[in-house]
Amino acid sequence: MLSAIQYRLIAGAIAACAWAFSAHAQAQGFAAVVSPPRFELSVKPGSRVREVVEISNASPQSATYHVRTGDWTLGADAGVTFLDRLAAGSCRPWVAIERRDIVVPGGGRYRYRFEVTPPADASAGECRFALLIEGDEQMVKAPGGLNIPVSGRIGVIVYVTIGSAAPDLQIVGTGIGEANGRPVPVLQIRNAGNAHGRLTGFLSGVDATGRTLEFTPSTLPILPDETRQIPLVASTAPDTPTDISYPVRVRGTLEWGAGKRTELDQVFAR
Amino acid sequence: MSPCVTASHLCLLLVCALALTRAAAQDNGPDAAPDYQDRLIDDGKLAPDVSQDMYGGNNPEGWPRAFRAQLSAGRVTRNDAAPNETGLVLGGMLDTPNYGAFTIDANFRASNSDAYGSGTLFTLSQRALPMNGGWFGNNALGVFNTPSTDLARQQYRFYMPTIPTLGAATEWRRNGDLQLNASVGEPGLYTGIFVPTFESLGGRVATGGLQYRFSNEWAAAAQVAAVNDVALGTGPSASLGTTSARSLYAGTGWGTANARAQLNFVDSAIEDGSNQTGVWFDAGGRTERVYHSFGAFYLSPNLVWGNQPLPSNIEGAYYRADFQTRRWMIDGGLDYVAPVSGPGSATLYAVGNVRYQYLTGLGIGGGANVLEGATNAWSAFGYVDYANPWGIGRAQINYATDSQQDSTQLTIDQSWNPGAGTNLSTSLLLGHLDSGGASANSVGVAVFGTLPLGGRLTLSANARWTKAFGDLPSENVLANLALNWGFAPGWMASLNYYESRNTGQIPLVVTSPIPTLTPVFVQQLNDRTVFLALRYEWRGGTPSVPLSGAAGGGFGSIAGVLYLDANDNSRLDAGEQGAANVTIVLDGRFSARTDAQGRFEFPAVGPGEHVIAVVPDNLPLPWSVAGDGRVNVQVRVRDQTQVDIPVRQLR
Repeated sequence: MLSAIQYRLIAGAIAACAWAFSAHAQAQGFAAVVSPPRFELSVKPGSRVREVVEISNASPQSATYHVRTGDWTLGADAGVTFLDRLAAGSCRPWVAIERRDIVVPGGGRYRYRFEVTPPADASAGECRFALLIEGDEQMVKAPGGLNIPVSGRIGVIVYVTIGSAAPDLQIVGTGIGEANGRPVPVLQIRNAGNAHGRLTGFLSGVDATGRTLEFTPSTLPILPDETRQIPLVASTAPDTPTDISYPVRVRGTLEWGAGKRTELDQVFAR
Repeated sequence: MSPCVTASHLCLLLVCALALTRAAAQDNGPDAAPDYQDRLIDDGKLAPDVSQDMYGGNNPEGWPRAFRAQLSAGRVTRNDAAPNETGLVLGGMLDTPNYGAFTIDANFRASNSDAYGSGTLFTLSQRALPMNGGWFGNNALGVFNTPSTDLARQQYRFYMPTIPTLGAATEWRRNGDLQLNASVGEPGLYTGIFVPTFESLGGRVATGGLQYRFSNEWAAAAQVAAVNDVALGTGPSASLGTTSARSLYAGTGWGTANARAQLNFVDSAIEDGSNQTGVWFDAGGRTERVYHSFGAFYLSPNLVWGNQPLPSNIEGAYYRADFQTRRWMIDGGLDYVAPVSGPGSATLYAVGNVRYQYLTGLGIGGGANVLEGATNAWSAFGYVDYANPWGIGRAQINYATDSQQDSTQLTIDQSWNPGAGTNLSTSLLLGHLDSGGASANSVGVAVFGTLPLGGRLTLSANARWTKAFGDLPSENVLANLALNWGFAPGWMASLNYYESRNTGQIPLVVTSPIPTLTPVFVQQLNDRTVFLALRYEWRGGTPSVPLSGAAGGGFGSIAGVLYLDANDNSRLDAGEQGAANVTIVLDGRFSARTDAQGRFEFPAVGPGEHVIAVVPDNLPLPWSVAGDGRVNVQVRVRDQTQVDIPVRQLR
């Protein structure tokens, strides 16, 4: 758990973010482009998996980036908090990275390698960590004449399934929540498995006005032993969100994991 | 499992970029100095896999500016001739805060071929020149395609051409409500093989246009073009003589968020005194889930736009309906076409397609086309799309028949997930053809992909090979390979190989009888080209003022491929060709040109919503961009947005 002062510091950092980027031109900025933004890998205990993350420098000047691993937590609001210190049960000792500092030429691309080697006696589960790519600190002049150093950081989330680990998603509750300012049906999803899972699938329903609606479950990750609210966003045409007149009955098949399905037939009322 | 490879995935919730103050970090105690040291692969002795600087120079002062030069030399083997071509392509850009963005292009080509000769091309253009009163101007000097009003350009079924011209052009736009354009010069043709240059047809062309938007819904436009003493062809076609003509386009359009209608009128008079008229009406509207499009047309014989032909001697009507949910896509339509005068008979064409997404990773679909008239033909296809551990696959079977042949083809496509920086699609093709009492079986493979061979060397390939056995033996090859080597800052060497060989029948395709605008694109069937290019790029200026963004607002990039979507699945499959040498415009201000494989890139674009527009002037017909050729793109800071834009054949 984060301490209160850590929460305040993270909030301060986020608040500083907009201001720091508004000073982008002065500071010559952080122009790294990282691909892919997420890895989902699998490996057997005692084996090794090696991957490449591409770090591109969109500025015309050479840039130095510092790369390290970090643990992370996912908040109830789906915000990610990165932790530098080794968290309890962290799998980062299984991870090896290419080097700690890299130089990427202007407009250039660096294919950065990392690998994960779980020990032979590792039990089935999921190794989760982040690759943190940080720029050099830049001095930014703050109101009042203070010079404050800032640095940009990108976190790439890595999931590694060890052995036979798999999610086990269960609907443990339903209700009305909010997404993008709209009241929407939500599912309380518990993950009783030992790997993260995400919901997809095709749902449809008819609201109180008789309109036929399509519903799309949010693809937020549901981590093992976690219960998370998953909003069902309604639309009348693909990718056109719409308001709902309650009550609404939603039916269809939820998909998750490797070919797993859960039937849903639920009335949501305010 | 494979890593997710597209930045558009909703991984962003788990990817954040924070600017952290040192003060905060210091207060954060142990987090500022991590007490965990990562292990290093091979003790940190892995050789870096890093590309060379993409740009020479790194002066951050001044306005954003860029310069590029490319020297190329190659040899073409075509129809028993093997001409050499040497070319120099120069280009530059300067983005000014008060005078818009200037671009300059200059091409020089030397060839020992009588057919292609030598040539040059020069264009100086200025886009988005800001003026008082909400006006913006676009100007061009040199070689350009004559400007048009939006109403003339944004056509649903018939495409109004523009005229390649050497001269001067200007276009003024005010707050989206008023457009004026004019151009004058000498019309011509684009020629060349690797390096496009311009060949004059002589004579004169003058164009002018006006569009006014009366309200949010209504707009009207008029456009005129006049040509005098313009040759009807070059080289062996020079003996066809010259033409002089006057053409007028007038149109009015109405549109809301869910409906549109447009009435178009064309009148053309050729010097022999004949006056021809065309009128067509297009409309469309959305009910809750169905979009209906319909229209009618009357186009008298010998209609022209300046020296360019227009669809002529047809009258008829069409209707299309598209139904779409997340799970279902159904479309269908009817076309009726008859000649206005002369021989020929009416033709009726019906088309229908359906797709059902059974599961997130499993979709099935099919369709059919029927043509009845002077020629009777029909075709049908069915497919299954499936996600698998290696990527996305598709199995499709096509059948087509007319009075002379029956053809069946099975295609297995697979888009692979090979890892960061690499993409790969493959296809396996099996076919059977019966024609005039003879028959043949065929087999083929296709591959499309990009493979980094170490940080500075990249191989791109788009190749297709088919071979037929039996009574109708044939071998078809279409290959486009490029090996790129970034060997020094700003420098790139590339070796390109292209081969197109077709010794057999072209597969039967049943399409709408509504004609496309100009003579159908003639694919070169017996080409083999090898060329070597040496390129230098230099960029300077302040990079934090991105294209269409604000200073200090950060930027991302847009990259993509404009491709000919042969199977209409909106996905770039192996064997599908890129559309080369087509202009892509970002927010109406910045332009890029697709390379030989249809690729384009805007490397630094401000975050937010942008519009990419495909200028279809150089698209091979009968291909056209869906809709109005505009794609809305969301750019995120420090992210690359991949936009693969399909162009389709009207069915």
